[in-house]
Amino acid sequence: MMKFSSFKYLFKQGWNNFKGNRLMSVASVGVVASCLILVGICGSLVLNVNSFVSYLGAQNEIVIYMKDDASLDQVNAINSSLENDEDVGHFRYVSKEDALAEQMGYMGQYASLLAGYEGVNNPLPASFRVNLKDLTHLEPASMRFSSFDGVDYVSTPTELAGVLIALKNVTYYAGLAILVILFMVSMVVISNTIRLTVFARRREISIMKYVGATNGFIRMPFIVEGLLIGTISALITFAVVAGGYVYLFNYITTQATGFIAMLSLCMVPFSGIWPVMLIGFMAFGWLIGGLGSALSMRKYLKV
Amino acid sequence: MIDFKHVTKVYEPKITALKDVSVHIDKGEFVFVLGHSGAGKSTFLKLMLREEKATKGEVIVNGYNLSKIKEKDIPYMRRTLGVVFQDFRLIPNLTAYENIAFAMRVTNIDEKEIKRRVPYILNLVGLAGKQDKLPAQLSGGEQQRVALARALVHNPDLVIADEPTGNIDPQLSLEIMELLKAINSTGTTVLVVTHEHELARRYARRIIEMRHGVIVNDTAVGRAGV
Ligand SMILES: Nc1ncnc2c1ncn2[C@@H]1O[C@H](COP(=O)(O)OP(=O)(O)OP(=O)(O)O)[C@@H](O)[C@H]1O
Ligand SMILES: [Mg+2]
Repeated sequence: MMKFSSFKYLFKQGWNNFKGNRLMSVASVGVVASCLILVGICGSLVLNVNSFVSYLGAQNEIVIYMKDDASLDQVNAINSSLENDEDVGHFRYVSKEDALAEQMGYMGQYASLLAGYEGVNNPLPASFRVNLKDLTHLEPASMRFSSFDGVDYVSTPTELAGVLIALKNVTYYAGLAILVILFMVSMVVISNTIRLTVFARRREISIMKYVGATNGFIRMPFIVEGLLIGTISALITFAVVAGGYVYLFNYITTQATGFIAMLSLCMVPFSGIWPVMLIGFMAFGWLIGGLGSALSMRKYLKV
Repeated sequence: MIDFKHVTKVYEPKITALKDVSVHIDKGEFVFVLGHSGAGKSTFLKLMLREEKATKGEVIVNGYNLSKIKEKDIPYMRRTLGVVFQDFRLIPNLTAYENIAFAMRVTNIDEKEIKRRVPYILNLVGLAGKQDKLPAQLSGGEQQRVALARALVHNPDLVIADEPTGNIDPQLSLEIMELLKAINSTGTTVLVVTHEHELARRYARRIIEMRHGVIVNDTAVGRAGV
């Protein structure tokens, strides 16, 4: 296989290509980094919207109201079904007494109005309050719960869930579409830059072909050039997006008030996303660098 | 070893550059291909280098059947032959040494081997003191010798020279012919393409004469120049 000296040589050639084509290299780093920054902003948005949606989702419960005449066995059976249900995040049982106490708690100083409803007169049903792991499973889970014995009815926050799921989907697909478009833009930019280097070196390329260099070898410096543009763009992007993210995160968690402050509860901290970010930018940069250069080489390898 | 079997080359739409050419050249021969402009000499070379593909017939070079060769084997086939182009095709911003080292580097040869072999070849073609000169700082004859040195790096079985006397003055063309003769005497096949009858008659042991894409004459001549 390839010797180390060859590897070093090819890397140096790639670096020379990058330097020799300096203006275009810098310009394409600029464009690719700009695309990547947009990708980074979209990605951060998608991530935080997801986190926001799961936060809101966790605030919403399915309530399984029990019939007044449900037996203890039926309650226990539902309890163990919920324990074993994959969709269930957590749940708690609220007995008739608990329900009344809770209601009295809400009423504060007027709690005494409910005084007559204790014991056998308690009109409030016992219930299970269930939080799901995934809101998209809301409907089937709720159907399942309705079929349990001893259940009076199941109350499901369908509308809110619908809005949240829609929000999640919209950001996801919009993010994906933007990613694809920016990916193509970056690739065209890189491949055009490298096409210039290839053109400038067409003479060398044809000599390489005649002295018996393999296509893989001829292609390598240009792939190195593409990867270099990709890597530098990715690193610049990471610095910019990371800085912006941390700044915004700090601002929202410490300065903001009202609704925005509420968002801070579910904002993903930077420490939780930087590895994904870095790997994502690198992967993006390398992929377009590699593909872009391969694309720009095709014509000149046919000798 | 070169074997052309009923080779026809048509450039689309319909220029027939070679017509049913059959020729066999053995290892160790010193052959001239002679012909007027447009006779098909360059086409003959391009087919050997697999720069062009035969429209009909078979071309076999150093054991590779070029009608059937796989794309990935072409570079290895090309390492078994060395070509000196009429316009030399040196890289202008590399020194004589680097131009030769380049051909070795791009074919995966160790730096150690390069350091050993390049000075040896430079010496062989009589350029020992000129290794650090750029092509522009060398005379036409010297540039041609750099091109010849580059053609020799892989120790080829076959050396091809396209119009080696075209771009240099007569005195220098004799020098390059002497060099080619010396290379041939080590057992390397040498094939020279030219339109100069005089030169062919003086050095060749065999002259293949082409006209309008056909071989009109293929004669072994007396051991002139030996
Ligand atoms: N790539 C091409 N496309 C079309 N026609 C071509 C091509 N290359 C050569 N020809 C034609 O094929 C014929 C033979 O050309 P070739 O280059 O082989 O001649 P030659 O003997 O090398 O001539 P010269 O001494 O001028 O170099 C000519 O008529 C030429 O115009
Ligand atoms: Mg010609």
